Amino acid sequence: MVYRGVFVVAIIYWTAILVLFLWLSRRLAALNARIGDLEREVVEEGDEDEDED
Amino acid sequence: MHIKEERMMKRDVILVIGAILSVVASYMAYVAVHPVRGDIYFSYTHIPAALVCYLAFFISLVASIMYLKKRTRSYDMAAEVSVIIGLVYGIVALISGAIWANAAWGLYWNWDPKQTTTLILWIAYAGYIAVKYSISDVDRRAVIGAVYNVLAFSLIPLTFLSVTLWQSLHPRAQEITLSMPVKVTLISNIVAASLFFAYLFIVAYSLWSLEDRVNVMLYRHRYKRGGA
Repeated sequence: MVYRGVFVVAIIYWTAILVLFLWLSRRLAALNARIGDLEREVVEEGDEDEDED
Repeated sequence: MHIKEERMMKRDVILVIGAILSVVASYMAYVAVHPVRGDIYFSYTHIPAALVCYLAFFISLVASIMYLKKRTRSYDMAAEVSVIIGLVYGIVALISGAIWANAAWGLYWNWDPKQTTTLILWIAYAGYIAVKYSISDVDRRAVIGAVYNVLAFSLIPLTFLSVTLWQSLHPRAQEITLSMPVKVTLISNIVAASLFFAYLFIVAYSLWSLEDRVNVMLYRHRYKRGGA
């Protein structure tokens, strides 16, 4: 009974840390995608400005 | 770029040391050291999680006080990040405490003063995040959040004093006697958990500040386009 509890607690502890890691990684990936969109927007805008000139 | 790489190196060193220490501490905890009482095994995860939770809330208090003093956004972000990580460690401490309580006292939840005050503390800090995310004005959100954080921290002495103020099944720190191998194992687990916390804090803080900078850039860029 005690050992099953110890095992469950250890699983919960490591899962929580892993979830934090994964959550931060996902946020980082979303941020990278956002920076990519922003860069693309800036490049497209630059091309449009050149066409107008 | 050089500074960023250096910071990344330090961050990774913390992670590697934390991971190695975790493996060693886990080996000591579950293989090498055999405590007299079987339920001592719970302490290797419950105590580090609870202490890291308090540490995170303490860091957020310091950051909030610094924000109120200097009004620098980085302090507000540090406080927010610290509370979010502290809440995760806090819920682990609460759940592991409940499972330990079931093994030691026969019930998951006894409304024991320590359990109850810790739950109140957790709800208070969850309220901090709720308050912060419900205000759209950035400066107002930061000031209200910082004041709320200082008030929420006043609950921490209560959780410590709860075992002396009221009759509690939870042992007081000075009542606990542990053998030297168990003590060393417990300290190793606490240090490993603190290193993981430090790594998560640095990563989350860098991410938050980068997101903030991107948002500002995006806003300025769209504003410039709209104005042109």
